[in-house]
Amino acid sequence: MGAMPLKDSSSDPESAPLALRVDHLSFHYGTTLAVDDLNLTVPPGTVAGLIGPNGSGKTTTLRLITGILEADAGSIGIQGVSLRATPVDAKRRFAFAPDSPSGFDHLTVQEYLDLYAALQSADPEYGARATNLLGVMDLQPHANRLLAKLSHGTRRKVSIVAAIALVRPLLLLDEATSALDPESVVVLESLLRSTVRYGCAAVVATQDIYFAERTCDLIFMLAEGRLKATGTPAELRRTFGATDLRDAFMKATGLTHVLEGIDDVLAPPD
Amino acid sequence: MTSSLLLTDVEWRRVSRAAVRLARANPLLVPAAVGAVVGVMWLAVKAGSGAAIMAVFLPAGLSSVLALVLLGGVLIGLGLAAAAPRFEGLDQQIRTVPIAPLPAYLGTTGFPLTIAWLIFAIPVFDFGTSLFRTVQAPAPEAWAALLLLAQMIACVTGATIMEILRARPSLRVLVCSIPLVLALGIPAALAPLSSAPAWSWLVAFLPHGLGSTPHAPVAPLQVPSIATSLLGVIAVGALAAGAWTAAATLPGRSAAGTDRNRSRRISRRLPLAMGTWLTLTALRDSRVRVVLLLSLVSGAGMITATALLAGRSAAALAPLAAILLVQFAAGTPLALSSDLAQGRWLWRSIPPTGTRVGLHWWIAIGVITGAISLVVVSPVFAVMPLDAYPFVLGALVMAAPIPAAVGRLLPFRHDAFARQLGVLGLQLLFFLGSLGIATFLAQRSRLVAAPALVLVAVLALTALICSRAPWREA
Repeated sequence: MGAMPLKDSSSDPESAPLALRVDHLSFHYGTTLAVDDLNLTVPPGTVAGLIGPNGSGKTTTLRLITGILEADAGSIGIQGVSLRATPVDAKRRFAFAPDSPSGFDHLTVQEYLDLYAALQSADPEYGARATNLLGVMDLQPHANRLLAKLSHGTRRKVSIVAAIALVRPLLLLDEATSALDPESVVVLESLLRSTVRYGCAAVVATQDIYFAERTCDLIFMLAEGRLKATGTPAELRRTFGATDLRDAFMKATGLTHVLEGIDDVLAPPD
Repeated sequence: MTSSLLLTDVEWRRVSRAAVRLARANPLLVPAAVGAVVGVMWLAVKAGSGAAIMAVFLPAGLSSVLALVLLGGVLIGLGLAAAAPRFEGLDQQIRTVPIAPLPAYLGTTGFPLTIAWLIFAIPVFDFGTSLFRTVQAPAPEAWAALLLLAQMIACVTGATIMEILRARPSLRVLVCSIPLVLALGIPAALAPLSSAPAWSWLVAFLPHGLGSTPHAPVAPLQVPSIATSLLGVIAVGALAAGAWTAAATLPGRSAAGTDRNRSRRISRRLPLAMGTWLTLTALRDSRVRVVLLLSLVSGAGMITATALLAGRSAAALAPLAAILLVQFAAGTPLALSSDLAQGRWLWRSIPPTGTRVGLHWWIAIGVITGAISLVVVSPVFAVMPLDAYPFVLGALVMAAPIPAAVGRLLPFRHDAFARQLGVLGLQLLFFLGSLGIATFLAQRSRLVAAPALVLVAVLALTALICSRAPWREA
């Protein structure tokens, strides 16, 4: 099984199946409700951003979509294929880079990419694409270094390269810009745009609102496991009467009160 | 001291929470674990009493048994110090609190290790009492307590070697520590060949001396004052404790070795890819190399002790030694399973099903553990009769996949001390239980193929656990 056949970006997007469809998704960690009746739709050729405060359910949502966690309720479809009914088929349609890739410490970068390709049943051109991406992300000098010896940021770049090189219909990046240097963030923005030009869709969870505003076509704002607002950055600014996405985010998630009286927090008590 | 106790309290709470979680996950596991510990302890006490009598009557037996007790102590010290919780393992922010290296080490490693070593006190004390009663020493309990102290000192010596290896991780230090460990066994091995008293440095510990006569003494030859012996033990113990403390607080140095490696080709076929990944990890992971070295050292020690203790019966006892040695290889899958657990985000998000990944894990770990076991028991093959080969090879094949299966049943963090002890305990339980069932069936049913059927059943059960059981490791 190689890279999934992708739609030509010039074809009619209305007729293409949704890259991702999440319906009434719920998940508990013990007694804590982490994702509450979440609905998401991501059309092909779209970069979608999941933004929200810590603990809002972004990472949990991505883990549910990838099958790392199993949902308590709801359904997940990737290109119209149900993750619950046909998990193997569904998992062939996405690539995922986690927020903190771990394990495989004693493999070199090149060996890790080979193992990843084998586990993902990647197409024969995977190696060439991965080599190109190693060059673009300035990772070529690290190709023969053990993963254990890399910094967190470099390791994240390796994980992102491994996922993007698969060219699957849906790309999922958790904490997309976390630990990346500014140059890599710029490269990542370009790579995401390039990915959607090939008809793929991408869902990126991020804390970086400015990155989301620049890169994403569609924004999902989460708080306490619930979807608080959705739309393009321009629509969200308009809806909340905000000057930028940061302002819209604070209003959508009801966090504006946090800033009130912040100057007095460290003042000695009366 | 207060900060050390606080850190020990943190470790204790961690273990308690893990035990409570275990009990909540499966209430049957707690009585099973208690039963296993009591059973193993009871078996050790029984075996110890028999060994004490053998030690006295066999040529050079006393020296050999003492060598085993002390060598065992060093290995326990090495193993537990390698697996112990450490200050460096705490949260990065906690590690920045102002605390001196010594109390930090004592709190997280020193005190928990000492408590763990005391687990071995019951069988060693019981063995010592039997031994000193047999040689008719006055106050056998007091001498047994001294023997226990001597074993604790051996544990401290093992821990010291581990700390030096941690602080100065290099192949040279590793190689230099081998003679140090082997030195404990060499005098016993040379005892029958030499007229000089073996283990003369240990005379102070024993009431009867250590004669070099072909037949070990059955009555006290010379009874020194127990107070003198106690002073000797205290002096050696203080020396060992000082060396341990000094080694434990050595500033760490990064591991020697190249930053770059030659990347090996990894096949696109799933079973080969997983096998290559695990083999490369086993070759490059220093923990696995240490486990392999310890296995080889203990293998050589075990066969020497068997030959010395059993004399002409060595060939008959060799298969027993071999099946015990097979257990030493479990450390490797233990180390590798942490890699599998850490990479779980990948295993669960790739197209191959959990069943397929689990089965390939079972095959790869089984082959690697089997290969290591074969190396470890190879010295035994030299003295073993040919008709025992199928038995030993069958036991080896049976033991190989067990660690892969039992590891995923325990709901602990992959690097938790409790998990490592639990895996070793469960592995022994699986292995000895299967051997017991095979023996029982062979004796009762007179079915020649009974051991083969049990072997197939164990392979099937472990494969089923690897492919179907929920992954409980955190």
